[in-house]
Amino acid sequence: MENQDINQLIELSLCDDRKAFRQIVESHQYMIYSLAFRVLGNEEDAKDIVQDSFLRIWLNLKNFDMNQKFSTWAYRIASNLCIDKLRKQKIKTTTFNHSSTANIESDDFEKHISDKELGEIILSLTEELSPKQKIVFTLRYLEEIEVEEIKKITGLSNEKIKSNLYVARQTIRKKIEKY
Amino acid sequence: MDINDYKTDNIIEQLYSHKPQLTHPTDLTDKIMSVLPQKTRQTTPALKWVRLISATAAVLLICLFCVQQNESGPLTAFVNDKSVNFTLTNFSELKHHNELNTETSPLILYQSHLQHNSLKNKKLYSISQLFN
Repeated sequence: MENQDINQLIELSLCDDRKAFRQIVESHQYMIYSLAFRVLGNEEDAKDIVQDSFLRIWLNLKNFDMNQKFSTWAYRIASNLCIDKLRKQKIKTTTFNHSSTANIESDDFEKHISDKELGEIILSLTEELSPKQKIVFTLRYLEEIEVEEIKKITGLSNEKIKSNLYVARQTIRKKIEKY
Repeated sequence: MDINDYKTDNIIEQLYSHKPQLTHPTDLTDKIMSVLPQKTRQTTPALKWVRLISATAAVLLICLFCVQQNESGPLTAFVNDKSVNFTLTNFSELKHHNELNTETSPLILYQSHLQHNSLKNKKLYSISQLFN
């Protein structure tokens, strides 16, 4: 969706136009769901994050700066909620399952793996990362967001983002080395 | 680049390419829309002007009221059915006025003025207390 279109929908939403806001939800809910799922590793939590994110977006729409990208703002809200969730919940320690990586390394990975298994793999690979490192890793490597945008989303400096990515990569590498 | 680097890259690439499926996206949208509270409408520019004008008018009216209450212009009293104009500047001076018992005493004139206008207010009460 073009930035101009989304800004028009935001203007309408500010005047309590729920149909316009619904269009915003429809066009951006998957983006938030994907981030939340890859960070939290399960469908229910990810859906809760999507719902909470849009509730916050609706309540704070008047504070949105039309000069910035809506997706960046939405990502920032969702990231903060994910970080809060990760800090609150005691994540069950998932033992690294070699059969999961065997699935990953096979050629028909996409055909065989379910979302549940994907969530388990992500959780097991990233369990030792801090919430911020997880967010940065997911945004950069799994959502393919540019570092400059991650900077706006997380409020971290370029150096901090790069060091988080390095730590995340090394942590995953060590996990893989064990098997 | 060793084998583990290659494996790490491969796993990250596989994780990237496997997109999680959002089941029943319409249900999720409906759920989101159902929890949105009624929005406090954004103030339109016209409404802002109405508010500003109303607030200014209210302040001006209050100021006008205060000015009118503190006006010390000439008052009119009726002594023996004749109107007499007089001014009062300081009530405390009345107590020591020489012409306290004469018809032209400012106190008598003021009492007459207040009585004529049926203003049985605190000022009259306090002044009468002053001389009792």
